Amino acid sequence: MSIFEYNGSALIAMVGKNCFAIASDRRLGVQLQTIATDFQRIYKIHDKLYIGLSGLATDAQTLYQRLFFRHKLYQLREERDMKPETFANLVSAILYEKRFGPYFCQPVIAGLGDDDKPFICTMDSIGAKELAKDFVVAGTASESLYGACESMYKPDMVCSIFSCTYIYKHKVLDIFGPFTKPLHPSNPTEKRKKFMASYICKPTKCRLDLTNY
Amino acid sequence: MSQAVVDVPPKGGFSFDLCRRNEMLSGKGIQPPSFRKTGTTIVGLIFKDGVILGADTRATEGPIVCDKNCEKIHYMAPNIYCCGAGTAADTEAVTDMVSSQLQLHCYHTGRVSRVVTALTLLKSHLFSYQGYVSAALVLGGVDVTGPHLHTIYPHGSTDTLPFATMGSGSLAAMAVFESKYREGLTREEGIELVCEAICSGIFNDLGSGSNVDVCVITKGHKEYLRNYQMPNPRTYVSSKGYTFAKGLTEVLTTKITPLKEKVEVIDASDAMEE
Repeated sequence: MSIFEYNGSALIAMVGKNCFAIASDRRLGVQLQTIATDFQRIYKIHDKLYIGLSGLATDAQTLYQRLFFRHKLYQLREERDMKPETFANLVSAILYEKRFGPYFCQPVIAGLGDDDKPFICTMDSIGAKELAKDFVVAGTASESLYGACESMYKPDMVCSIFSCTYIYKHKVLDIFGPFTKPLHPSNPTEKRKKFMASYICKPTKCRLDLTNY
Repeated sequence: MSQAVVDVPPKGGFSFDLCRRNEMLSGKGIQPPSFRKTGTTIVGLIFKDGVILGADTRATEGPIVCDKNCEKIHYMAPNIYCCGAGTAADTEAVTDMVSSQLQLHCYHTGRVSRVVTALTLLKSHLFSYQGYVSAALVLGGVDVTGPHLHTIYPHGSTDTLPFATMGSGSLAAMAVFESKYREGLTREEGIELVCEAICSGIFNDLGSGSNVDVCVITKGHKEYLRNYQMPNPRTYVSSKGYTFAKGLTEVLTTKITPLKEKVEVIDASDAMEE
């Protein structure tokens, strides 16, 4: 059994029109036994940058704490937030540092960069970055998610929420509670759906309009 | 002040503090994760005026293609480029590290970097890790002594050749080179031969695929042709795509957080007058 299947996880991030969405499941298990159905895998680094960590839950939490610490230090020194590209380089360096004794974690980074341009990126457990223009996936359900995204992705969707419906149907190891956070320059919105939670951002209104996805 | 254990950025190099825990886990029968590999076709050849490097663009994670358009031709110096095969994190980290060392060396000596400098830096790093840093590289560039092409193996051995191929598709590409290479190729002939070799890797090797990247380096000039050929276009079953009905997913809760906060600016001159 692989170490990644110990806790189980499914993560996805997708780029839409001037927005991005990041989604995860919420199940925490010990192999086949479910321990929690509200486990958080997506963490906020700053208003416009989110990181999702799949894989071994303990490593995910430790890694998040280290990254948040480094970001706070950066904020103190530079008096501004880190750009997503810079943050991705930081995560890659921290993971590669442990090349021969790695963290069993695959991060998915999603953020709004300069001019609110959406940025998504994923890495393997030793920091090999994959920058994508459309979608990235990670976790035990990654094969199914690749298939879904490949067939259903369209560029410039207004809210890339369908990612949640996707994760919902997955393998036993990670079937609970997708939690998605679509993020738009002016407004991040968090939405919790049946078994799911998500953040959506809309440019002008607070009304949630899901028709255009 | 008490000596707290703070997570300050270390001086550099690898840190081995999780090794004992990972050993313990593999002792309990848990397999270690597979890393992303760039099971690849990378090639290089020397033509009349310089060096041409070529690479495919597929990155695999086990049996799945995780990146259909990754960049395998890495920048080392303005006149030196390096293609990498093997574990993706290793090739990226090693080429980035040697690229910065080359730049420092350049500032220190005041001269344009030479290909053999990059070669020595790479081979000594790889040798000192005894092949555990799994990066197989094709290094090419043009410096004052002329065009050079080298291959570097993960254990640190190197070869200097007029044409070279590495990666899982190297046999397919080498077959093309061995039959069609000759000295004194022109730029167009060279690019065509490189593309043919990479395509042969793309179509015959499972670890290589997607598009062809080409990099042409000549004296004083370089051209990085990203996605020079795209022989595997995306085909769709239906052009409309998949549509999602509204309300397909039940929303449990919604939380909206405005990002832009209103800041009131008090005019400084008004404040002073009061």
